[in-house]
Amino acid sequence: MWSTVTLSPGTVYVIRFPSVSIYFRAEGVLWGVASEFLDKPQRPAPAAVSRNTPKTLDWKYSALLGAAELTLRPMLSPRAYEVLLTHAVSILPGVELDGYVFLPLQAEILAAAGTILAALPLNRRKYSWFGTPQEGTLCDAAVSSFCAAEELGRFLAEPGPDLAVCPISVRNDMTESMELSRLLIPTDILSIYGGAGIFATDRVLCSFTSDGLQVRPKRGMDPLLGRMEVRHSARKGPEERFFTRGIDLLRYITGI
Amino acid sequence: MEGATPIARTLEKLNLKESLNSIFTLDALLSILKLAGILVLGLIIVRIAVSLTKRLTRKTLSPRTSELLVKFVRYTGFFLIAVNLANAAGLDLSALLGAAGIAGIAIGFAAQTSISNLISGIFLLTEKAYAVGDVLDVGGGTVGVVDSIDMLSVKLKTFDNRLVRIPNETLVKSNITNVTRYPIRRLNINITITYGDDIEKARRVLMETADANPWILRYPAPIFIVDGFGESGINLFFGVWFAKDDFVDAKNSIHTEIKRRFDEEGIEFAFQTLTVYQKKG
Repeated sequence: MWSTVTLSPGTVYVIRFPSVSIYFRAEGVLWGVASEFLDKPQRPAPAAVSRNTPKTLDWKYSALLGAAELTLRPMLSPRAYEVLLTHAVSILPGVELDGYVFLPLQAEILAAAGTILAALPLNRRKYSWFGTPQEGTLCDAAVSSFCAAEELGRFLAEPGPDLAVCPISVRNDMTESMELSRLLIPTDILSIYGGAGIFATDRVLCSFTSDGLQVRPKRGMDPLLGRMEVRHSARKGPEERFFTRGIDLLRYITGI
Repeated sequence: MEGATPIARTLEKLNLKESLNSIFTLDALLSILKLAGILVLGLIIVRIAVSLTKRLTRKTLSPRTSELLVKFVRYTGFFLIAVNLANAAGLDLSALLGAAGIAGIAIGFAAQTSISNLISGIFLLTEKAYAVGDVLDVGGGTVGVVDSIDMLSVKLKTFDNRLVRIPNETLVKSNITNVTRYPIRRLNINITITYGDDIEKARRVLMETADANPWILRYPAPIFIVDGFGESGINLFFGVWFAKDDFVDAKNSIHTEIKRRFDEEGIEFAFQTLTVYQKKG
């Protein structure tokens, strides 16, 4: 379903993900995109002509002359994820824990020339907040189990087409043990890799110190996930992150 | 002398040569150089100060406030240059300053309100209690978006599209609530259910409703409090958090959904009731 769809004028196409159906239509120079969330999960299916198109769809149209193909590309939410773990994990002081969490993907819809037409969430959206009520980060809420390397194979036997595996290392640099129940994962520093129906991101290194949480990426795929190709590059490269940190430091020093 | 030209004769009469000699002495030249130095150096310092003020205030303050500060720095600089020049030229400023003081008192009486507003505005600027684009509730009555922060007043654009000018002095004296200061807010919902309803069931339904609502944040978690036993029923308090930009969506959807779920689950909203007992006989 993560593929290129060639559209015939006047025909409605549908791609089915577990929680959402995405519809396309081409009418002259107008390209329509709509999505419908489902109460019950459905079996995923690649692009096909839609026989029973719901009447209540909210179509969003774009004008594109001479385009005939649409490509679906996986992407992470533009917001950071707040991952609520299904089971809280206790981490002793000085211990680094390696594992995997699963992040919900979005579908980026591109026209033939690479123009981005839309970005659609593949799961019902829910926001969350990471920080104090006065200062923090607005996130997309996600729920995931914290899966050890030995368990990953079981999870990847039937990978969801709307999820990306995110390798993660959590280090407790505090003097006391900590209860890990939720995590903040910034998405602008992560690339998405894909292969054999599985999507994965860069490894995320989270270290909890007495000053707070520090998150940084470790470029490249996790060895367990095998060889994959980059499907969506990180929005923020190392240079930009370095510059942002420099500016933050300058602001901190000058108080401006 | 007989053979001198008329111009030379006139100069001789005026004794101009000596006069010019007395003016263009070395001391006079040094004084002129000193004045020129003060002027040039002063202008350079003012220019640097203005440039620095612009840079420092560009990102932290609104354009209007920044411009106000820049103007203040520039004119203060010009004033200081003028005072220094007068001082260096040997002018006695005490009389001028005395006159300025008297004039200042007169102007002060005449423009008491304006000056009060101006000073109040400076205090408010330093407090940084609000910025352009914030939603303010002034004195519990006037609510609107800050349209501009000026020298004497703040202009609010109300939600029914009126422009309200509030003098800075009034703002200093009033309670100002900055509704949008923080990125997230809590919506407080007070509900009264009948005494026949199950509190635990109401709690479960409310929590489920908040969980299913996309605009309501998962964290901070919703808060549920049994507020007490009222005259008509059990008072419940339900607080849910949302991103400040989603105010309308969050408020509309959560109220609609609570009503729908309560109807589905058979939970009754309590009305104001009065039980009347009729005495027999």
